[in-house]
Amino acid sequence: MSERVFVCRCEDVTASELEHAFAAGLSTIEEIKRYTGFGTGPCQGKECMAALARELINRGLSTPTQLRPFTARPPAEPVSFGALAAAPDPFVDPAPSLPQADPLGDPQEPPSP
Amino acid sequence: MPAAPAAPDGPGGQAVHLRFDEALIEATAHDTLATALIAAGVLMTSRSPKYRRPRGPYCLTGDCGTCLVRIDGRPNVRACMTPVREGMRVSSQNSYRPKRLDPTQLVDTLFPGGIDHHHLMVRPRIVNQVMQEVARNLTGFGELPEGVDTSGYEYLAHELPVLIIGAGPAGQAAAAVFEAAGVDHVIVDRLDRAALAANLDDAESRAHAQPAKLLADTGVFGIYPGPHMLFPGREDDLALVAASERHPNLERLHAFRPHHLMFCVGSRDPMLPFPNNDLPGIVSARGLIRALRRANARIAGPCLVVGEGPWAHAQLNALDQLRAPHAPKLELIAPNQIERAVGGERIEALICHGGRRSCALLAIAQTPASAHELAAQIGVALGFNGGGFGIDRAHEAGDHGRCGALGGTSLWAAGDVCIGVDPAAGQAAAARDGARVAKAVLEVLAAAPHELPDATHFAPAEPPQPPTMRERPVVGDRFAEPAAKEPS
Repeated sequence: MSERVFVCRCEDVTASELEHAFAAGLSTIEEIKRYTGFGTGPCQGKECMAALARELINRGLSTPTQLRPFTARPPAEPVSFGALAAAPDPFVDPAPSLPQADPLGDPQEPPSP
Repeated sequence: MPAAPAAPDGPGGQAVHLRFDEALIEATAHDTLATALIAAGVLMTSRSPKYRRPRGPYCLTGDCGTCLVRIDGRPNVRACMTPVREGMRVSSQNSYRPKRLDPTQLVDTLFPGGIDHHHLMVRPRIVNQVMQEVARNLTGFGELPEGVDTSGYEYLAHELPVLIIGAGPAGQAAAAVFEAAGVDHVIVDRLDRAALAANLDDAESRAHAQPAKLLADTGVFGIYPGPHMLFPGREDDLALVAASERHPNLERLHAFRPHHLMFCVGSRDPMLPFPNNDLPGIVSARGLIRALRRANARIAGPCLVVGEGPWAHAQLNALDQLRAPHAPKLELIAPNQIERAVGGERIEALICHGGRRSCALLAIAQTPASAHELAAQIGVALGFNGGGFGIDRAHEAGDHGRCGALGGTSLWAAGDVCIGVDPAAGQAAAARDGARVAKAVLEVLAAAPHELPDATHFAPAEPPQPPTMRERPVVGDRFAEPAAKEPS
């Protein structure tokens, strides 16, 4: 196995790829995301963005006041298309009219150990 | 199989049996799939998409994407968020069997200098097309599900005074304030109740009852402007917070429309860059502590902790208390001492400037980074605090914990997610912050009593049915066209 330093493990972006990005004159998180593809995997930057931000500051390429994270978009947590398809159109049916007795019950979770 | 790095602490009730690829694994009833695999000495759960390197669970709290496995025919399920069930059928993703002989790992050796996709085989075009075809077949996340999904789906809409996202110390303290004041509220968290209890550092708080209005297993995935906010005169429409509540055979979509929304989402554990920092067995220290506590397991093999400062020392002490009596004492390594990690399907040792230290688990205790993503979706002011991006409450006058508004919904934040709340100060500090902000919300509610409606919960009278799904054969990376048009 070769020796590699990973910045983003979801998309296999290594430190050497960051070097290419820095050499191309990129110094913001959004630009580096577009160039290397980091933060575009299943974790959506939850694991790697802070590591890159620290690297940019350590190298003097950015300052804490200049740094901005890349755009955050839904979904931040997995959701299935089946569940999304179960939602009524909010424009057609904004306040559905059948009150529900106990929204927090059923199905009951088993008691925690 | 080498010695397991973690082992159950005493009898864990009835044993649960599951299958991981070819191996039969015995787990305890408290285990998540990730802790069961680690206790069985299985650290590798997938191969990486590009270089085909072995990967396993890292964060152990549902943040990172490397413990995704296929469970009972359903791909891309997080092993660290899934409690074990008797007879569970689990397989690794993205790897060929037998895993030890996976030919695709050649990719890692073929490109020792890294794959520079900006220049690799871009011309001539025909080579590029062939390369794309090969790459497309190598990467990806497992195969499509077996058969048509038979889970049930439900939809629930809520309009309520207060919604708290995150049931950590800050969120639970805030919920207690609202409970005592009789304010209708809901507190949601993506973790299950067992994990939420294990996340509390203080044994006394763990024994304490969980909030009455807690919706566990419910991950908020998006926050949207209210549907009427676009119309003139309706700019104060409430924001829409969308969450998915997961059960084994049921998924429930919640649409919350809160008057006050509190972010108590805490912080995440970022990765530390050093050579071979992706080996299976390298985990986040905080995630490991919480996973061991939840599974009632102990560290059974040699374990190193990487980090410096008060945060790392606190993690080291907590991990040392979770060590089996016969296991070697844990050691703290400063990040600048690391030369590289070595191993194959799991970490074997850490090469430091002072020599080689063998280890079965390497716990990374980096300063946590605030979980800013949900707040960032709706443009809450953020700042960089050295660890990561956190919510900057100082942008709002008075600093009572308010961090903005979306339509008619006031936004508040408390705990680790905010700049100025130091995770190293302990969970009591986050809990105090949660209670303080909740009291500020109460003051606002008391100032405008007509705005204090009870929560209402709706289910649609005629829920739209999910579209009927049919099996269609997949050819290459496309669905095959149906042979003949169905009669209408």
